Amino acid sequence: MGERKTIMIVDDEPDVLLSVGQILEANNYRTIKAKDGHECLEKLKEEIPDVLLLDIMMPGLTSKEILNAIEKDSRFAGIKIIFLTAVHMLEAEEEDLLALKQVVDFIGKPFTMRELLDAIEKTD
Amino acid sequence: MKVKAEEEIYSKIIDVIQDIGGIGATIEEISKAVQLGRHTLSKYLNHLRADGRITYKQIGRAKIWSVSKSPLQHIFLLSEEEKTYTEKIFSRILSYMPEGILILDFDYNILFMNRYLTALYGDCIGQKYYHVFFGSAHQRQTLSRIAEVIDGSSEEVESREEDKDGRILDIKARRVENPDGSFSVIAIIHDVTEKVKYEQRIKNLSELHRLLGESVNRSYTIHQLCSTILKNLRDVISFDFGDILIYDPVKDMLFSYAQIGYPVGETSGAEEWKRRIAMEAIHRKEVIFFDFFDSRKGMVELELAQTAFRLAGEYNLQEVYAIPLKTKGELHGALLILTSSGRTISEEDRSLLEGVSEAIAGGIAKIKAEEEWRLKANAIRISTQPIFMTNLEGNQTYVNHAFMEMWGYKAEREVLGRHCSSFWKDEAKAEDVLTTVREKGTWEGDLTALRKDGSEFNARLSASLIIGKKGPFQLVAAVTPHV
Repeated sequence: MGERKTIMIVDDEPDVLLSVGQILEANNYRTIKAKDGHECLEKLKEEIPDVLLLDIMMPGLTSKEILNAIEKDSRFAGIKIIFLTAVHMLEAEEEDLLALKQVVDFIGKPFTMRELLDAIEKTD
Repeated sequence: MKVKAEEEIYSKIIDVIQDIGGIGATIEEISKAVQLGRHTLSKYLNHLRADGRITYKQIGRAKIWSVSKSPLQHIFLLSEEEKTYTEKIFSRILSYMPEGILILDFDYNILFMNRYLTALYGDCIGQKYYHVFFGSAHQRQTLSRIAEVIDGSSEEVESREEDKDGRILDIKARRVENPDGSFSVIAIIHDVTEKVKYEQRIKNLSELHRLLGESVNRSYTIHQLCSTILKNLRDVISFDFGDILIYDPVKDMLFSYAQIGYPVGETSGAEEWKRRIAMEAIHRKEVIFFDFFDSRKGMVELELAQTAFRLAGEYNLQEVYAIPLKTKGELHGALLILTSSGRTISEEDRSLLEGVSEAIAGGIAKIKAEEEWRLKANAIRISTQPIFMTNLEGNQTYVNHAFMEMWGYKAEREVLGRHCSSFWKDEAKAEDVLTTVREKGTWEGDLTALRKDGSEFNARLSASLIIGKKGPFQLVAAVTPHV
């Protein structure tokens, strides 16, 4: 059995952060939680996750700024990014958020946990 | 006593000047009538003139005195050298007032207008008020409420009136008694055109947004929404023809969803020309504008211009606007606004249209999403696989037709609101499934279902938690009966 994957969840909604975190742990994943972009980048300095679940509309740093910071730092090159957001995919495209190769999926809210678990599994 | 005596002399001098009348009186004539020496009389005359009660005209070396009908007018007719210090200060204050000052006699003749009004109408002293302001050859009661002051029905009036050039004027006028007992009308006039236009724009904008909100709430289909929007737009902004075309990004094509104003039974290539112009606005993501009577406006590439000119020829157009309808990142279509020859859309209305275009696009996006959801809901409804949804407590919130069939129920009220475990033989196991879905997000496995009539069947259940913007809120499950 391989090592447990680490998933970082970045969402400003505490209930999403808590529930998605608990469910992923119940599915044998390790989780790191960040309530905004600043906390995300701070925690990335301490630990590099395998997958980053990133909300798009959050206060503080924009998603583009987070992506830029990840792109610039070679230590983060292995992180797979899944957007988990209420923003329309075309809007994300317009904001040029899907261009980075590390972005592997885009899941619109509301979503089923089945979709999310499948997307995480596919990052192998 | 001395003051009273002086006042009597002043009155006598004015009476004499009025009695002589006509072209005015010389100092000799006045001197003879009031029996005062020239030197003393000259002193009194200068005092009266300083008060604005009499005035004079210099003819050669002689001064011809007359009673001042309009003291203010008198001040402005004098040269700078002739004015007293007070008159100079006063005339400057009046001239540079940031509002218009207008003085009329009771025959509507303009006696005085300050710089503010001269800048708007030119020097119109001596002309008729109604001609200068309203371009009318005759006074009519409906032209201006100043007539009420002149006919004596009002002492003072305040009104907002539109002049011959379309300016909106706030006019406050009242009657003023002159020293000779006659009356003048003094009016304070303020050009409020910009302010009124701005207020009207805000009013129109909020009215459009209100109508738009109403349209979105009441519309069930995009066709319905687009037709209502076009009608509402034409009620607020005057134009001749309009179209809303919806964009399909997959096919990169536009489809006409609503039109207004066009003659019935058109068979020309107009539809294609309109589509090309609208498509250009979509691809550029910016407004395209043609004014066919002013080539400097809306200059675009030759090919597009040719298309636009063909369209203009077809409908005898003056202007064409193609406004892309886009929300933040998504293009939904284009709004085409066309005006007939001789009619233009004002700058204000143009920016109004551009201002509401995003709201229109938002409305279209909302109805589109609703249509899409209805389609998906219909797909689930007609699916042959039983599907149900519950709230987090496990109470049924939705079942499709296949579920009703499979479990043998006729009416949804028999099913909705009931706990989901009651539809399975082993209720405790069904409770465990629910707990697992809440904790682990999903569950998949076999269960034995319990029909309404008590019969059983084995099925595979695949359930998942649904996470919304605020966290988990529903469960959804699909059932595959074992054959």
